[in-house]
Amino acid sequence: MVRIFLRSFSLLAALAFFTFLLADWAPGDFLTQFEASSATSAEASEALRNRLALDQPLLSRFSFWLASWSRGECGVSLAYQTSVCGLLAPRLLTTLQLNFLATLLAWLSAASLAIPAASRPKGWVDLMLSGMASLLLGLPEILLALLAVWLFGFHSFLPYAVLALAALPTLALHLRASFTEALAHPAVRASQHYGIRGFALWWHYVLPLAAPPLIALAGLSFGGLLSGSLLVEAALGVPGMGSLVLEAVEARDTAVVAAGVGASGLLLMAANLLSRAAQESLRSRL
Amino acid sequence: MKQRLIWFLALWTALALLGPRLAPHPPEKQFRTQAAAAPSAQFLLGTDELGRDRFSRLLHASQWSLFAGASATVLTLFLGLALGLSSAAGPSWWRAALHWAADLSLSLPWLYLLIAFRSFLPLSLAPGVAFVLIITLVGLLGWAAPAKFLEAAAQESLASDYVRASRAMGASTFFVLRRHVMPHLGTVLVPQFCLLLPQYVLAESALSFLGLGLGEPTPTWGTMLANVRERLTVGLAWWDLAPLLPVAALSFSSHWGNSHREDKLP
Repeated sequence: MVRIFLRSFSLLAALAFFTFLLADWAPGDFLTQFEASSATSAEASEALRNRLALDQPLLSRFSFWLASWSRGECGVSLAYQTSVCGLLAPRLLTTLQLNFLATLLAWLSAASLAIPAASRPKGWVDLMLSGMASLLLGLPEILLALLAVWLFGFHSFLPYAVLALAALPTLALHLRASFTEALAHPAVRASQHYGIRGFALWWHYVLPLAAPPLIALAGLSFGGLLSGSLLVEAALGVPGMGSLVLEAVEARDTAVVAAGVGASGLLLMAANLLSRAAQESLRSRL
Repeated sequence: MKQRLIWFLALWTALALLGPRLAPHPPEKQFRTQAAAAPSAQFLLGTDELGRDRFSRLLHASQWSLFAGASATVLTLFLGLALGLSSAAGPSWWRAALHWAADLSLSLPWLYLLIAFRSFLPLSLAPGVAFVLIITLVGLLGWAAPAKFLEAAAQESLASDYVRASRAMGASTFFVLRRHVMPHLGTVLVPQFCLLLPQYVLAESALSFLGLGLGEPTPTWGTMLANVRERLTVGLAWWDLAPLLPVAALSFSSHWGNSHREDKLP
């Protein structure tokens, strides 16, 4: 566990480092657009560049950036003139809330479709699930978001619904497959013959058997969810981390881009670690 | 079952090659007096707010988007092949380094990574330059998954008896890879291509949609979708949503083409 954690951390450090370097190497800097758009004199913009330490060599800016990380500020945003942490935290919270609720919604609706579908193969719920899944698999997040706005107008519930719908087909298909497999297991068949049915059967026999691959799926699907969340945030105007990173890319706000990409990597690794830990604990109990 | 993949490839290749020839109007031509017109015999899907024929733009956009997606996919598969083979047959330190890098790129949300690398490039680019850069970016970033996949396939065939026999007769590693492993991988590469193509077309569309890819006036599926988003607040008719159709059709047909295999996570 500790080894996995250290490995994840080294990956993350490398990621933030590369992002900062790349964003910094890019031609032009934070002031380029400002100079182009407003009639500032060359001396004024030079003074500003000096004050923002943009004229320093790359290495000293990088060490400045590292030092600010050690103070817990994660760098300074040029556009907002505040520490990136203070800027990122509320946006990160919005994105987390969006993703968490959308995931919950997706899992609940997938389970409520997959349980009756698995218990009665070729029944109408099963057919409905297959039809819905093949329809939704052809609709990526961008299309879903555009369609939803066209149909319902801007609504605060839409981002959750769109993200959940985008995750739903894969989830429902996987859930149905694991449930079908678990229902065919000898232990489940035997307990059915003993007269155990309904909730008790699902809770004590089917779910423990079906859980391990599903937990792995939960960890793996988080990356796609986060990418989809960026698109949904941009399309529907949610002030989350994705839209912050996008703004920062357009404004050449290097520190914000690096911290945002780092945070997205951190979230993903946390999700993977959680799902791995859950798998371990489940394995030790079974 | 292979037939489905052939149909999938044939259909989209035909659209990419023939699409612009079938377009009734040039994609940039503005019919100023007939802006935002409804579908008619002259304009099959109506015109946009600048009076450009939407049907023609969509056909031209299909060529741009499909060509970008296909080139990026080929680039990724080449990279994945080179890295996967060298990892399967190479020294252990090289394999460890590749696995580390693959883990890094797989443990990230792909869109954040794409945007991070895109921020390395100037924001406004000439269409041709932007096109090549986006293909390169999308193609280079996606290497990890196919590399792992191809490495596993190559390892399987390297462990087989015919490779051992060939080695015993004095064949070099390069000869073994070229003669025994590569032909075996062909059957893996085609389904991989069909699976990756819609993902890469979508990646290009996502970048253009976010304003970081090919910009106006070049028609791509992404820029046309971005146009739909900008005008959503104005109130759109159903024919204004036409750009959604080919994107959905591509993902849909890819799932159909690959549906005989157990679908794993992308």
